[in-house]
Amino acid sequence: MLGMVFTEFLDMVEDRFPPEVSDRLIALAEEQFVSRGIYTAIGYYDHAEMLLLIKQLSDEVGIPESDLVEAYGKHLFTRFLDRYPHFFHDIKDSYQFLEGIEARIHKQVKMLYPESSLPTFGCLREGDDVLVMEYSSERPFAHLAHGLIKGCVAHYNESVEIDMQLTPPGDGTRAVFKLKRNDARARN
Amino acid sequence: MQEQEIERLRKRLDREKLRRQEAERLLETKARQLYEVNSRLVSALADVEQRVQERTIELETAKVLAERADRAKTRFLAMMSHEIRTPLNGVLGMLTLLHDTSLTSQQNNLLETAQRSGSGLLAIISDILDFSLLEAGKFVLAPKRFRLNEVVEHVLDLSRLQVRRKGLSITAAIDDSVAEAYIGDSGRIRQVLLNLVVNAMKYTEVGYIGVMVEASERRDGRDNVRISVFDTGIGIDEKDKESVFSEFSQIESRTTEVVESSGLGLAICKNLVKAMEGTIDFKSKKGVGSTFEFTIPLEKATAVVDVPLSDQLARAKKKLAGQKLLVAEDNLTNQMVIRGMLESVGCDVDLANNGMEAVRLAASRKYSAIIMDIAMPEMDGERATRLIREMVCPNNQTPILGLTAYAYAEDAKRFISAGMQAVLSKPVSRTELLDELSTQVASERTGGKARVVTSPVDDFALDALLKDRDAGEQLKLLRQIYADLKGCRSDISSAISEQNIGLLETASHKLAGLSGVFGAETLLEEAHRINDGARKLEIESVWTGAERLLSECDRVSAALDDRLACYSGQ
Repeated sequence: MLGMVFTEFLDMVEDRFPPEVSDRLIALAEEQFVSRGIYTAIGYYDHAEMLLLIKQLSDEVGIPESDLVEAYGKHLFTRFLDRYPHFFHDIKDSYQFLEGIEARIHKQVKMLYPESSLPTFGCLREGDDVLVMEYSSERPFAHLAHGLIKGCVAHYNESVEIDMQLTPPGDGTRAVFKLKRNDARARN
Repeated sequence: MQEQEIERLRKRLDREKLRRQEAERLLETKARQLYEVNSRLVSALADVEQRVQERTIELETAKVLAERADRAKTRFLAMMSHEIRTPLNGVLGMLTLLHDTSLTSQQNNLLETAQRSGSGLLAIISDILDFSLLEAGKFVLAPKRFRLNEVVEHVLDLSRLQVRRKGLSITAAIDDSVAEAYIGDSGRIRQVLLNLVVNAMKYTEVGYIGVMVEASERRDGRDNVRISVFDTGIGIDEKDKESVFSEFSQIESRTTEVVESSGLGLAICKNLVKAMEGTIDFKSKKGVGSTFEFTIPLEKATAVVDVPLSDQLARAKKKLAGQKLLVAEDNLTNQMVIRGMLESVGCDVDLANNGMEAVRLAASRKYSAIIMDIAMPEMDGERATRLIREMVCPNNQTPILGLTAYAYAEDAKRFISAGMQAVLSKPVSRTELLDELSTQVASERTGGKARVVTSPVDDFALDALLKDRDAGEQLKLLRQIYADLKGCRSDISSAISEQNIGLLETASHKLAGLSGVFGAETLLEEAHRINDGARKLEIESVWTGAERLLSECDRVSAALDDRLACYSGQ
């Protein structure tokens, strides 16, 4: 899993929760992880460590993991905006951005990180207002994708209903997102 | 104080965080640049590879075209030589025949000049053909037993006239180390030596030309034979030395005499010597003279017995006189030439104008040999030969001699596999043709080359005998023949049991006469042989031959039985 997912996660924990929470997460990592909690955005790390960090955080703060991950997704999207502004040039709305994930973003990520294994987003338009996205990954991060999509919609200031259905095997590696635009104004 | 400390640490932490992020950003940028440079390199490499591939394809195409053109050239030369050699064959052949007629001495002189010019032209064409064959790697040597001193003498004889005309002298010395006879392609050795001698003459104005032959034994038991030709000629300039053995090179000659030459001589020599596993080289000093020498490995042979030309002819005459021959040849002049050669030794010649006619004639009568041109209209000689070998006809064992101006050895092989016994190259000399014919006719008589078991009775001959009679008469005649045959058989059988050689002689004589009537060819030959043997009292061999004669009688009787059975059904 790309290092940026880890560094941004820990930054978010530091920013949003009391210092003891992040201290305990780091202590856990130092004790048990191969990485010993030392992450950089440009490395690759075991995604199991991410799952353990999320579980630990959930235990610490009493928020369900899925909610935490989704929130993190939204946060991560803003970080993308900061770090990779060129991804957003000439993009008018969320649908255009989401439909271009494979062609624009993943392609470039692959250039920099040829060993990364990225999730796929199969996009299908049903009319102007409905976009169906099929998420598929080697890792169970459908909720993270959910958060990212929400972050995207928020960024473009749109009103879009996002419905997520986990699909078999139901472990979060497969999901279908159905996006429906409410706001006719956003159409153009 | 503590708060200030905390604030300071926080700031430091933030700075570190930013520093880390900046480092990561820089790394990503660098990675991206590297990626792009690499992409450009990859595409440049692909571009270069593509261009290399395109050039390779272009070159391959050019090579294929060049090779095709080269093959076309070789083919063209071979065709040309065919086209020129065929009429030249006619001209030279007619001149030979003309020579046999009574001529005034002036006419004789004119004729000899014409013959010389014709031979000269033939030599040049042969040069060109040799060269193209050598170049195409299609050259095949024809080794046989020969005497090296004869080759040298022959070359000297051929050059003597011109040498004398130029006021030069020519001598040859053959070292004792040289064996009396060798096995090799004497024609090609003569060709190389003649070329070297002619070359020496061309560039020598004063002095002499010498030929020296030496031999030394090799480890493999063969001899390394070294033949040197030295002259007192103008020599070769240093600058010309490299091109001496290349084609079409002739250095400036001071001689006023125009030498007819293809300019291929030394190039051919070089290739010929190479084909004979030898080496050729020269030494030369400007104004002093040159020495050309070649060394070839030759297998020693036991001495050959000389046969004078007139004896050869006489022997051929003895063997071939009265033989019935079929000549298939479409060219009228060549027909006359070959017919003339064959009739000069008393052969009886039938002519066919193409392969189809040849097959038709071969189906209807028995020949002692067939001479078959290859390139003929309607049906070529190769096909005709195949047909004659495959059909049931009196000639499917008859020797067939191919005659061709296609000089390729691989073609000759194909013709042999089509069923020819030998292939001669045009223009063919009388000696060559008669020699080959006597060999083939003799070997056929002993049955050595028989390929197909034929009917003991020649149906065509029998049909010819019966055709003008009505069925009753036919039956009567057949019964008569059958009865006579049985009579002969029982006489021979008694002769064997009584060991009565006189009876064997008369019975076999009678049998020979009888079998000749109705086309029992094998029986006829066997009977002749036994009759011969009985007369000469060859008691060792004649009795076993007589046993064979009995079984041949039985084969013929059986064949006649079959014939008679046809009538009983009517």
